[in-house]
Amino acid sequence: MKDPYKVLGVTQTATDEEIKEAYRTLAKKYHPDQYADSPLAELADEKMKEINEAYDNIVAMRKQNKNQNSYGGYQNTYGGYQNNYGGYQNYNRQSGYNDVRSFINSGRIADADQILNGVPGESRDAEWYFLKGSVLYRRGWLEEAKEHFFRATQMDPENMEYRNAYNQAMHQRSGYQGGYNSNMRSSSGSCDNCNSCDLCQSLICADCCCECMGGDLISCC
Amino acid sequence: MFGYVRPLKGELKVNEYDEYKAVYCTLCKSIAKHYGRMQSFFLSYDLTFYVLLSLNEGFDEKNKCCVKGKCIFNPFKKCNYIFTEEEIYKKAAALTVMMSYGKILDNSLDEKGIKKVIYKFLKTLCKKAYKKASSDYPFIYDALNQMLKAQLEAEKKDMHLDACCEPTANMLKTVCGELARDESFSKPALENLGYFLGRWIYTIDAADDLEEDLKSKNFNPLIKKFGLNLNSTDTLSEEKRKYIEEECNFSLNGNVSMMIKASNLLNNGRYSGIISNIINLGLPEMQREIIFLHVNKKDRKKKHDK
Repeated sequence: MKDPYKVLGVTQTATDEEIKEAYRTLAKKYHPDQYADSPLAELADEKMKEINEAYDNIVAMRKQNKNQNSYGGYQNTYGGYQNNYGGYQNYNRQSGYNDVRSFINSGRIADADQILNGVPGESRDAEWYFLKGSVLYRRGWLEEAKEHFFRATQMDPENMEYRNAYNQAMHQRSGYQGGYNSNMRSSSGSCDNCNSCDLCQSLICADCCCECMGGDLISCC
Repeated sequence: MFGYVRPLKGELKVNEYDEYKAVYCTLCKSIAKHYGRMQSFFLSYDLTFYVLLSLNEGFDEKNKCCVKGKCIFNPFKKCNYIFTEEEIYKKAAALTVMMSYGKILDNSLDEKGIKKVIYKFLKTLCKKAYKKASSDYPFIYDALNQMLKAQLEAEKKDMHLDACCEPTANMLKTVCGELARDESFSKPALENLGYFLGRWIYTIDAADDLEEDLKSKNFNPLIKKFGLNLNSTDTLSEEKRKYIEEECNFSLNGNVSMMIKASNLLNNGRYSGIISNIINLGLPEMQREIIFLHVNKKDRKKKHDK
């Protein structure tokens, strides 16, 4: 078995707080929500199990002289995910594509795609575009996936399932989950040419103006 | 197609920077040793990343010391080398040789006039090293050949961007997946990382070449994506250009976010810091330089060699 401390990336001398912090960071990193619809979902799941186990082990080892309450709560928050992770079942209302959905859920992307491709052009509805988008997304064809999700939301603007998928795809592209965001950086970049010299100069300027008007900003000059 | 995958130097720790350089120099020397000194000119940052991924999979902690040695190009310069894991460097060296040969081959078909003659000449010069590398690593040879074939096919049929990315993505998927030392665990993560890295590289390369390709009427999947007119001689309007920049950047962001997820699942090894720097900071910086600042190729090289 792996050394639980190594799994969490902490030393044996780490405090409980540090361990909890490390666990929390890792749990966020591997949380199944991050990997929903990703072919790496299983792998992330395994990693999650590994860190859970490691954390449990460490806590058990330190249990004797520690209060256990502080840890109890966290386990529960994580335990909840298994249910939503099952996939599309939650949404399953009247659907003409139950077989496709179950293929997607079980990772049989090629089979799902085959059925979808068999649907003639004129009977392709919003759900078809959504599912085709999901298939494309799983294959890593992010561009076309986004376009299909968009088409689905256009055809059925009320449907939250389609809208969520589209929003998720757009969020991923925005740069907030990695990559470059032109808006985010340019605002912080505007201060590039503002140094301490400019600051003093502006202050003195402001002081002069104040003095002209009879007031004073910097009392010593 | 080379040189897009780099760390953001300012954010590397000093020891990480030293190690990155040592890996880079060792790869250079390894190319020269196995495939001839001339091939070392094709040394690239991308392949350095490949070595890092591979080393990170299982680096023996005991062998961490660097050895000082002469640089093979500059007799006055001393470089650090890491002479362990010889096999990894050799594989990366072979990949360098084969990929640059593929590029030369491609150019010798695309280019016209004097350039065509130069590339044809280069091709004959590199043929021997290419043959040797191919017989050393037949799986790389197969992956590259498949890529070239699929690429031609996709270009002929004027396919959608995703389909055009596919050959490069699949090639890197195979090549990176092969690095895994733990079949069940790291392999899917490495394959996934390689796949999206391939998509990222192909897309940024297309964005980088877009204007040139518009002028020379070469194939570029973005021309179709944005409905650009091949026949008009006037330049793009400011508005259209801005829209294209944003869209390309969005597309690249999607791939980076997938890469981050995959890289989080990699072995937490000696080079994790540098790998995470490259993916989280280096690639976005490259996006900024190429898509928004349009830094041309020569300037980019100068800036990073400093």
